Amino acid sequence: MSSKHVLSEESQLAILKSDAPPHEKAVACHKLVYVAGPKSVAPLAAMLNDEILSDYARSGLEAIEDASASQALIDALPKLKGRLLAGAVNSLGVRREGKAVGVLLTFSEKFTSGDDLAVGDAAVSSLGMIASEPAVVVLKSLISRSFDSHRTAVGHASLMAVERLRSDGKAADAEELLDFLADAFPDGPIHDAAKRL
Amino acid sequence: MSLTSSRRNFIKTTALAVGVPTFIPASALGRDGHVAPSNRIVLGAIGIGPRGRQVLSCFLREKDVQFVAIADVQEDRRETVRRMAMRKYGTEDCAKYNDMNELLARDDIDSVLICTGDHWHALASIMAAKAGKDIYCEKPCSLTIRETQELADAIQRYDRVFQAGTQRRNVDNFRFACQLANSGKLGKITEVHAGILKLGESFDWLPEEPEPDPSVCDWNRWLGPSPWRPFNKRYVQGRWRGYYDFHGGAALPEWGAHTIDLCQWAADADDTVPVEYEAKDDTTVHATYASGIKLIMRLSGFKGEGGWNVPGTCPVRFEGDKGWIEAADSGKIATSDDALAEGFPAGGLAGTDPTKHVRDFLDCVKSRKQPAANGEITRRGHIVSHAASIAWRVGRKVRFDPEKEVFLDDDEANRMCSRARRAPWHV
Repeated sequence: MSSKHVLSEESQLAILKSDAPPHEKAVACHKLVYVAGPKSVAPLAAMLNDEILSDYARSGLEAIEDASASQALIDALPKLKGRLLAGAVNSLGVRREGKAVGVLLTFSEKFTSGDDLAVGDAAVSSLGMIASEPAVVVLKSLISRSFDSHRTAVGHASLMAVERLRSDGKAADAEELLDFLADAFPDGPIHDAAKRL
Repeated sequence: MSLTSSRRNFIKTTALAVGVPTFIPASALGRDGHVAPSNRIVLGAIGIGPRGRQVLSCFLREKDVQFVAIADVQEDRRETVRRMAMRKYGTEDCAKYNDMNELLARDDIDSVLICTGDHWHALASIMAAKAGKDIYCEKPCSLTIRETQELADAIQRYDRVFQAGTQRRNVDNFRFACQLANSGKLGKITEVHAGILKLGESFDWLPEEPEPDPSVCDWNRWLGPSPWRPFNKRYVQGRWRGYYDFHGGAALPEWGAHTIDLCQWAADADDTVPVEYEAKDDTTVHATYASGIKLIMRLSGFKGEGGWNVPGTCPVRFEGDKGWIEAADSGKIATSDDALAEGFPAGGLAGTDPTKHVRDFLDCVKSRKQPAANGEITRRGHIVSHAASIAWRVGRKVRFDPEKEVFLDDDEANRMCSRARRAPWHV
């Protein structure tokens, strides 16, 4: 018997909307990954601020192809803090949501200022996953302005962006970013990878 | 291997600090069959429980390994490993860390052994690759197809030597069987069979218990990228298997990481994966390669389940149009014809023994060649395991594109390829 006991989106949404205990709602989120559509976006987004259930809800939101899932994540950002905010930021990267680059730029500035390292770190990583032209501009700018381990994290995210650019058919952009990285990091793993990739 | 100047300087400055005359053991100078410190691979370990200690013991037996640090979220495990190192070297030098980042930040460490729970394998390996370490990681190395891809991509990106703990690639009877299949002596290969455990997964939470002090057991770090759930000591005592959040692929990769991996080799398919998967029930999944070879994943167990001809866990069977061979953890083989067993090196390792696999890894750390269970081999073998479990989950035949590594025309199956990671952990 497979784990797909539940075929109905409605039945799982009913659990999310009920006063069921957290465990039942967590399982409902797991099941929703199979079947969640636009109707599930708002109930899942409402859980992003829940310390226990946020990550379960993110799995559901990451699975929904509809653009409303990304918009819900973006809309939730001002209401989130710390770990929960970092999680939503990461989900936007997993979804490769180009519309989020502007707000990710704001969060990545925290990385340079040290205000909230987890959020800034997640934003930088997400920019690498998104790897759109504006995202790459932000990454390059951060490398020029940040220091030490933070700068290294941006370098790692930029290498991920190189791979995404290539898989998106943007070989010339990838090569340009590699040249930039090789110059910006005179030695170490990022330099070596940039020279080799 | 990065034999750093800092390590050489350490030896030099240490000798100076203790003054002259001083006693320097022959082992430190590389005499009496020992390897000089400057030529040793400096090793750290991350997440070492019972299986981890078995593997670590193999590393400690190798003379060109210097084990220097353990990172584990549980103090009793840290201390057990530190004592292992103390018994080996007669010193108190093994450092203990709760946070693996502190271990990975050490420039003097060349390689890491990762034996955490499965839910940490891929992410810890990626973090290690970013830090420039070579990696031996226990299996299964990933919870999902996406994690499998991220892991293999990171290994390639940072040009690391990676060895998955699928040690049967370096166990004689399994090697013999795979090489026989590749030799043509079985004729045209038609079917390869992989022993698996019964598929299943639990979404349950164990009853909540008071969280221990993080200096004793850091539950937050133990959970790491998995979604939050209340603490129960049974998880951290190793009884996390079977729970969806910690154990990927509905338990199929538990043995499938080994047996499917060997089937890939025997089917001459290390660079691809089957294109079609269908679960027949909770114990059997059929898959088909583009070549037409059938991959049959079927029940095996600890008590001889499944009707295999050869004794032992993790059995495999390779069938051609001229004969068949089976191999399993007993170290034995069974063949359709005695002539097929000619040249079989009896008395080899048991399937669970990683001695040769560890040596293969260490040799490759030095030579920078690819070990037997490298990142790309692991990528394909693990994708097969996960794809087969997804076929079981959705309960229908699914088709898979080996190049794009996505299911074809099946949104539901593709949704099963990934899970959110709990922040702040990410690739």
